[in-house]
Amino acid sequence: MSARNSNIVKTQQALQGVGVGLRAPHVNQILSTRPHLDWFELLADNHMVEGGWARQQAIEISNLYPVTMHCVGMSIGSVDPINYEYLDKVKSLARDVKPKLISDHLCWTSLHSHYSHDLLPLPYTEEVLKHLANRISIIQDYLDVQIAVENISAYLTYKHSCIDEVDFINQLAETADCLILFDINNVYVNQKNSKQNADDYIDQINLNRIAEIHLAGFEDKGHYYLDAHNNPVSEPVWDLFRRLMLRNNSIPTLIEWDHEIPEFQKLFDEAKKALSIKACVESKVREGESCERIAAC
Amino acid sequence: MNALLLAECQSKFWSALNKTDSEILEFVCGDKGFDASSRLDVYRTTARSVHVSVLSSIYPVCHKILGDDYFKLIAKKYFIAYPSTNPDLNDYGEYFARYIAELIDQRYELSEFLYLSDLVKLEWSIHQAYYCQNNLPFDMHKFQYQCEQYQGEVKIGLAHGIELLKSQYPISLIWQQHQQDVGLNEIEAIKQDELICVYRENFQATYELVDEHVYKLMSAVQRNLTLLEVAELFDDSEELNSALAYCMNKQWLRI
Repeated sequence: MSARNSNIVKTQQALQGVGVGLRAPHVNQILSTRPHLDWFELLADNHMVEGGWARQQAIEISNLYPVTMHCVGMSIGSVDPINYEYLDKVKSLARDVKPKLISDHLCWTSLHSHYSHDLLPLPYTEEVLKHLANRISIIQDYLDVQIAVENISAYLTYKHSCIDEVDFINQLAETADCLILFDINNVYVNQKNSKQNADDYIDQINLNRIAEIHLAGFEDKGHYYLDAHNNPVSEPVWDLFRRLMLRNNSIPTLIEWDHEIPEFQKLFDEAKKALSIKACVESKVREGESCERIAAC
Repeated sequence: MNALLLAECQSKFWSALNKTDSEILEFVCGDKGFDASSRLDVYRTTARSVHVSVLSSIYPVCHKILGDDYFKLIAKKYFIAYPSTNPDLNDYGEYFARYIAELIDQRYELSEFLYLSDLVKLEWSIHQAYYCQNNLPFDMHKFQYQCEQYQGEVKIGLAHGIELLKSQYPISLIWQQHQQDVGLNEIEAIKQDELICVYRENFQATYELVDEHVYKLMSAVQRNLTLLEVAELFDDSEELNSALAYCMNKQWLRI
């Protein structure tokens, strides 16, 4: 298996600071008020059609801000053949908005050419690792760009999984020579749902491969957490974010909110909070403060 | 436990997701507070609710007419009968009109909703028009050039997003009334069919009731007839010219 293709364009760490996921109800306000934000993330699948208002919105935003493209349809982990028609649409959108990063999820979404439109979990085995690395390499070659894969929230794990998720994603990034989109909320949700230790995950994730961080809110369903993206970022997730910032505070960070979408100001405030944590950690690290004091950022 | 190969794992998961099949449970970790079956149910519920929610957003008038519970019941059944075949969720729901038509034939409680299948077609067409490719303005120079070169053999096409509908029910009125939150009590067939052209203008999907000449012209264009063949359908060339000019002016045609 050849995982590396020297011809693919390596994603530059051109993104900085904090961005917000672009959502349709906010677009007009953003275009007219041009809030001071470092970048926006497009939910690529909402802008795939070559025409119409959704595509126009993406283009107009990309003329004003750096953007990234976050996809949900590559079905990277599926045993189905790769859907090149979908990748062509990704390419077409990328031509129009010139994203700083293209990402999708560490999951499968389709089988027998049918789509679940949900991020389904994979077992973490050597077989799956090889399968994913191979497909990511093919996708990167086809798109001619290095992509990032996101760790997902999951509600089940498999008995035959034999590799810890954090080891799995670290190994995958090296083998496929891809980047990681590190979702801290998903790490926290999975701690509740599958007893995966979030602190260990934060401490062990390969920082050199992280291209972007996602922060979002979850919904407490009692016996499990649902990654609903319908709430502010929770305090435990901010704590994990601070913990990661201690390791590297320059990783671009994004606030996501997908359901029960509030006024744009709410997302803007969350972005400001992320930015202030980054700045606080940076200044305290520079001053040689103890970890305890940095944790108070 | 034997290692489960990925293909087998996904096949078992998929069966469990869409049916009540539960072979996958043997391979899923669970605990007292959150057993394997409940974990799988999270995915079943999400998959259903995503699809139902998409259908509701594409067919809001149908949803309103049938009521929340009945619409969701039908939408869930549709999800099982017609799984999504495209990663783009905006393409989901294409066969909903056909599905509704079948239900109307089968279920007595839908017997008063004979118009519903046509109304659903209108909603789908509006949705499709919103998400269609952009159209370039009709190129009159190219059209004139082709007419000179090929004369009657010239073919023109419908612009992206154009959909022609014909109904014996006043579906445009029903749709309009529901936009204003005014329901209609009893819907009866009308004497003359409604002829509707759905299109997009300034990024907004909309529709217009058209006359029989415009409808005849556009139907012929849709059937990929040459201009000569189109002309043969009209007794009066003035009617054809007038319809052609109207459609060109509305940017409903492309060359």
